[in-house]
Amino acid sequence: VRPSFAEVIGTLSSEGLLPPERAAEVAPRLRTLEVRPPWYVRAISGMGGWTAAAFVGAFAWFIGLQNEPALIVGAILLAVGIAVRRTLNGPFSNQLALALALSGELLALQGMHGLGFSAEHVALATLGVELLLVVLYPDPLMRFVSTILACVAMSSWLYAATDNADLTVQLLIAFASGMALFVVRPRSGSSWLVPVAYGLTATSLGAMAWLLSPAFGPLSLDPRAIWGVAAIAALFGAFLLHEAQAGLRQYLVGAAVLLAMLLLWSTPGVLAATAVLAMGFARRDSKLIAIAAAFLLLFGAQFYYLLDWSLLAKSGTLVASGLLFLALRFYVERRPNEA
Amino acid sequence: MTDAMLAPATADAFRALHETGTLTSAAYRRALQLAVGTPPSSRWKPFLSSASLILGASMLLAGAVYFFAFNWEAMPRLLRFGVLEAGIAGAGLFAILRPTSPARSVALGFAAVLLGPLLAVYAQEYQTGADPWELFAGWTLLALPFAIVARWTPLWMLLGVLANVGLSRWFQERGFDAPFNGVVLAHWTLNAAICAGFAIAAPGGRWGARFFALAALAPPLFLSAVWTAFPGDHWFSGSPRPVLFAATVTSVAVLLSAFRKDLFMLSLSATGALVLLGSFAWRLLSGALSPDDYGHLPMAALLIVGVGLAVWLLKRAQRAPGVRA
Repeated sequence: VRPSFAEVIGTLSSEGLLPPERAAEVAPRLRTLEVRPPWYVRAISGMGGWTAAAFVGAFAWFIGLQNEPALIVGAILLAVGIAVRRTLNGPFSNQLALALALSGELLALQGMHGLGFSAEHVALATLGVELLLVVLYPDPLMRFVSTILACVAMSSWLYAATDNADLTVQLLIAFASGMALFVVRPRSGSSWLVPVAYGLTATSLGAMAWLLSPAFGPLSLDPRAIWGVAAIAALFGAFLLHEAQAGLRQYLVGAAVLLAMLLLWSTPGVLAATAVLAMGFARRDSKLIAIAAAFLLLFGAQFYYLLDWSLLAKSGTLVASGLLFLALRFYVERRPNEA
Repeated sequence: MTDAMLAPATADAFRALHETGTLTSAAYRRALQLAVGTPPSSRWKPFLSSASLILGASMLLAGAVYFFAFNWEAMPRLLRFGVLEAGIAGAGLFAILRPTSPARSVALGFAAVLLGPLLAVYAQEYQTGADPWELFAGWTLLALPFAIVARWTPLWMLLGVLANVGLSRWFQERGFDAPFNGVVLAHWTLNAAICAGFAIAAPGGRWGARFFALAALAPPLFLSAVWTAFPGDHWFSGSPRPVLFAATVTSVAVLLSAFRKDLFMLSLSATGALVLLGSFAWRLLSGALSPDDYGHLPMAALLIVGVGLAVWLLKRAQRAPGVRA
């Protein structure tokens, strides 16, 4: 999906943006840069950090560290964890910082709860801590998880404060924000942008799946959500087509795809995941493509359970949508020089 | 050309090159655009083509399944067989007529999936008395030629999953009279064999071997860890625990020795070793310290050191020539 360093450097050289002596520096410099481990190595590190933090939290609980002492010790551990991560960068210090920051957060919030703070205040404090971690903790995995937890805390705070928080509106805002951050990605080198965009996208798709799931009883997605998802998909789709310097015909194909997806209106997740899939390709991001494909599979399976239609109507809708997609492929394949 | 130059370009690396002065601001902006910016519309064709093919084929397949579910009883026998066989024949014919098309693999996968419902219809119409495990085993065997011809990793993975479902049904139909850990061991053997098959026959398809290595390791690792950390009676007690433990240790050792060039397999091996050693440590600490709860703090310290060491080793391995992330 993504070009290699050699391809990018070659293009920069051919466009006169990189003189030959500078181009020759790139390979040796790349070898000296810290290699960013793949997602599964970072996942091992993250799980290790969370487990160590849980052990610290359990230890604090068993020795009776609660209320004010828990709040104070938690805040200190959190601050020390952030400071360690910002000043040192090695596998051991990173694990230590992760365990300190997470256990500090757990202890501080548990201390607040023990002191009798309301759910509203605890949610607001959680939101504050998560935002602090997003800004100050220079680790993509922490920023990703903190974004998800910040969304959950924000939702809990709104629910506790107003008792009537509309989850559908919140997830649409999170979805649009995630897409917007992916859109600005090529113009910004900010290190927090991508993990936050991933966090917002995963939260919105996950919340959509959760709200659509019959297993969770009273929660449900507002049926009008499809219009919000369609508007967001249309807006960002049009923007991507504009960036790709597409012609009128490509805009029409995009509109046709959107209309085909509207046939599955009862599960707006299908359209949302398809929009993320397109964004993944536009940002040449194979991980985003994989996440979108996994959600697409999940929402497709949910379609079976949710739609209050006969199986024949469901079958007809699926066959019609499938034929539309095959027709789209036929159309695309017939045009060798266009999308 | 070095390995580093052939790796996929990243925004982080270009930022570092900009900060060290190798790239000017204009070159940095352009590099970001090239690495993570929207490709021109001419480059969207392969993506649109494969995405619409996979979406279209999946929807058609799901639509066919819903149609059968709707009108099963009222449908004449000929129609039941006819629709399924027409689907298989149509997809097969497409694969024969378009041998170079990328859609060929999807068409063969489509046909292979329809074989399952066809066997189910056959079993129901003629009351063959076949058990469900036989359906899955038959489906796996009949789909095998399609997978061989298609040479498509997702279809091979589907066959592996079908074989696992068949094995699981076989145990279920015998009322789990085999020891529970016997079931886990049987799946471990099957998944290890599939993983080896992927590694030997399809060295290009990394994710097939990785998926089944994970499927082989995870269940025995979990049970071994519980058994080690919390000795005593469990819901799976009375079964051959040492054999299960040996299977886990063997997996960890084989992944470490046979897949030295695959970082995912090395990560799996490291995770297995960490979980087993962590379980041992908890058993020792909770027995040695009084009260048991004091073991939590040294456990946290051990985890920080152990995971830090694993990440350090994996990052070193990642830098070694020829290792695939």
